[in-house]
Formats: sequence, C-alpha cells, structure tokens
Amino acid sequence: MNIWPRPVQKPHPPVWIPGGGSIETWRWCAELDYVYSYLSYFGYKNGEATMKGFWDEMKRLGKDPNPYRAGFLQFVGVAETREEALALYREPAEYFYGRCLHLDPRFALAPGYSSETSQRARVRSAVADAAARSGGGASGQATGFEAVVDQGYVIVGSPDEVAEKLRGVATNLNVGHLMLLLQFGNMNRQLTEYNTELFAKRVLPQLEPLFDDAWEDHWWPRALPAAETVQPRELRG
Amino acid sequence: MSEPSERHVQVNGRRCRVWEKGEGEPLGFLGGLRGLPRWPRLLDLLAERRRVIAPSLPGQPGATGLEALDDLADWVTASLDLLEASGLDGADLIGASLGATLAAEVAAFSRASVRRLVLIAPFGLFDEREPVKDLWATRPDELPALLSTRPAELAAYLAAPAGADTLEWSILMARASEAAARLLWPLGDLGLRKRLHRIQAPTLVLWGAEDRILPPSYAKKFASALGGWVEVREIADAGHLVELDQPDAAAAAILGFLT
Repeated sequence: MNIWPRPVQKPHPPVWIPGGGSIETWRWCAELDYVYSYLSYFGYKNGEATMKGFWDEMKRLGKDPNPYRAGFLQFVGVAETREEALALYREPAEYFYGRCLHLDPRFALAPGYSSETSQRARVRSAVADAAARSGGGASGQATGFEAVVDQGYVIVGSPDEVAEKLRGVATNLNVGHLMLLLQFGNMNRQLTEYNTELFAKRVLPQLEPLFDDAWEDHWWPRALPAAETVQPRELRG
Repeated sequence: MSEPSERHVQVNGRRCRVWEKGEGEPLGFLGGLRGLPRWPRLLDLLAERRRVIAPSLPGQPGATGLEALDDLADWVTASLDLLEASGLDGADLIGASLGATLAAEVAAFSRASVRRLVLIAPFGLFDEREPVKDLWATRPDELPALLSTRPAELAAYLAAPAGADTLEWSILMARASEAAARLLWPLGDLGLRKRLHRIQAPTLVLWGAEDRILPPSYAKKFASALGGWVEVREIADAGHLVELDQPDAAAAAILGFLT
C-alpha cells in the first residue's frame, strides 16, 4: 500500500516558479513547461530587460511566445481619482520602499548563490543601467513616493488609468499572469479592502479579455469534472 | 621582479595553471582564499634560493573545475593529483590559509607526498572559546582590514591587472571565493584535529600576530596536535595574510626552517 497522495492532474498540476532573473531558471521552466514568475519589487520599467531576456531565451529554445508562460509581480494602488490615489498610497509605498527592503550586505551575495552565467548577465545589465541613468548609481533604488511612481515600482491612479497602464505592461512585457500586490507597506485592512475591491470590480474586467483571442492558458488550475469529485460525508452527531 | 614561467596541468580533466620560478630543489606553494591573482614578493624571495612551483587549485585564478569538488575526499584527491602533475610529489610544501589546510590534509592522508611542511595560518580547527571569524557572514567592505594589516596593498593585489576585462576578473574572484566556501564554509572545521597526529613531516607553523580571522593562539593548538617535529613562529605586524603583510620576515622564517 502506498500512503502518499498523488496528484489527480496528469502528470501534475500547473507549476509556477518564482524567479529573480537567473538564466538557468528560464531554461528549467522552458524544459519542464513551467510558468516563470518574475518577482521584482521594482516595477514594469525595471522588469523590461529581464522579461526581454526571458522571451529571447524562449525563442532561442524554440518555445512559442504564449504570454501565459510568464508571470510578473506589480504593486498597484487604485482609487476613485488619481489625486485620491496619490494621497492614499504615498505612506504605504514610502514605508515599503524605505523600510522593508533592507538586506544585510553580509548575506547579499553569498558564494554559490548564482551561476557565473547569471553573474555575467547581472553585471552587464547593472553596468547598462548605470550608464543609462544620469548620475544615479546602479544600486540607487528610489524610496521617495514621486520617484517610486515615476519609475513604475507602484502603479497608482483611477480604475481606468490603472487598467490602461496594466494593459500596456502586460502587452509590452508579454505576460499573461499578473501577480498584484494590493497590500504593501503599512496599509491597513480598510485601505487594503478598498484597493482590492476597486481593482476587482473596475480594473480586472477591463484586463480579462487580453490575449484570450490568440492564446490559451495551459497553466491555470482547472476544476475536476463534478462526477470525479467526492463530497465530504456529513459529520455524525 | 621578473615574471614566473607558466604551464598547465590537468586535474579532473580541467586545466590548472602552474607558475614556476627559480632553480634548485622544488618547493611547492598552495595559495590561500583567493589563490594567486599575482606573483607575490614572498615567492620571489623564495625563488632566489629554490625552484618555487605554485600550482592553482581548482577554482583559484588560473584554474577551473571547482564543480567537481563536493567533499573533503574530492579536495584531497584533487590536491594530490595537482601536486603530482606539477612535479611536487614528495617535495617541501608551503600552504597559506586555505592552501595550508589542504597541505595539512594531504600530509595526513598521504605521508609520503610531503617532505617538510610550512603551514601559514591554516583553517581546520575550531575552538568555541576563541571562534574563527565567519568569512562568509562578513561585509565585503570589512574584509580587507580583517585579512591584512595592509588593506590598501591587499586591494591592489586583488585588483584586475592592467588591460584585463574587469567583469571577467570579478567573476574569477567570485569563483575563487566559491571554491573556498565549498571547502571551508562556514568555519573551516573539517575534522582535521582527528588526523593531525598522522603528519610526521617536520612542520613550521607560521602565524600573523595580528590575525583577525584565526586567532594566533591556534598556532599552539596545531603544534600540540601535529605528529612530527614542529616549530612555531609568530610574525609581528602581520594579519591572516602573512605572506602579503610581511613577505621578508616570512621568507626568512621559511628559508631558515628549510635550510
């Protein structure tokens, strides 16, 4: 008798892999047909180079550019108007980018954490970033709200503005799965619910049809047919 | 200071650089945490009297192949292969830091491989009353002053040579650091204490009086556990990297011991 539960999906449920830009992870995801989910805290502008690298690698490996192969993390703050959004999300964004990303340099680059190929790619892109920014260092991350919004770490605005921006992000980065952080920094329950509800009711419907005319999402979990499910037995009193 | 000659030998099917200079009886040198990014003054001084042969361990500058090294047995085997291929089987052998650890392991596992031994601040023992500094939990900007009493000279020693691709040089230094971590992480205690009695080769234990990685008191711990004739010398105004901080004093002590 084998007591280990096995997945009912054949061969397994869809697998999503979180990544930070390692080339080996892209290759691994391509080989095993997993979703590559780029978990950047620095928004769609900084994510562009990484996602371009991902898609170039998929092309090189002969994989189709199905946007559902990819996921992307983005901070979002929605309100009735842009002015309201700017007022509501300033403090949580500054709290997060000013306080929550501390990484002790003793542990930032432990030997063996990343391959030589990835080290090369990272140094090259850091050098390119530094060259592109006028005067800013490669490691100079924004912490003030204006810069955080300007550099796209957080997308804020009215529902229509956010929807338009996210459509652009999804199209430009070719990502079919957006992982949205609607709670960040010191955001309280009330504001989190407000943000989430506005997003669900007024932004999401504008995004859902994107890509579906051209691509199928093979990586979304599917419910079992009702005939194959088992209802729990009533508890005996 | 003239350049050493360069050749390559194979270990695990990968190329390892061997630097060599001087004439006379062969004298081996295994480099420390970053291997030999440059030919140092200590080896020049030794080469005035001996044929100095300095092979690069896998992962150190001039050698690849660290992926093949998973455990101590792999490192000892690779070191024996490297020493034999470089013409150092049965020769006098100097090791510094990580290189001294491997020199000691080789001498313990294979007594005939080493004639006389010079250990410059080897890792390998751990005393919780005077703990070894955890190199891999240290801020990179604090390292030079922890390793050397001459941090500015150390920075120049480790910097990319003129004309070298600085990106590739940084990869090379990271590779050496990974190789060191593969052997020594976190604190370098590989169980050497249980094997030190097997080292019958006459041994000079050299330690920097200002070593901030391995306390100088470790010299006595090594000396009391070694199986053969032992001499201990503490070098004043030298940190963990004795060979860089005080090359003249180190050369004098080594040549005095070997003569």
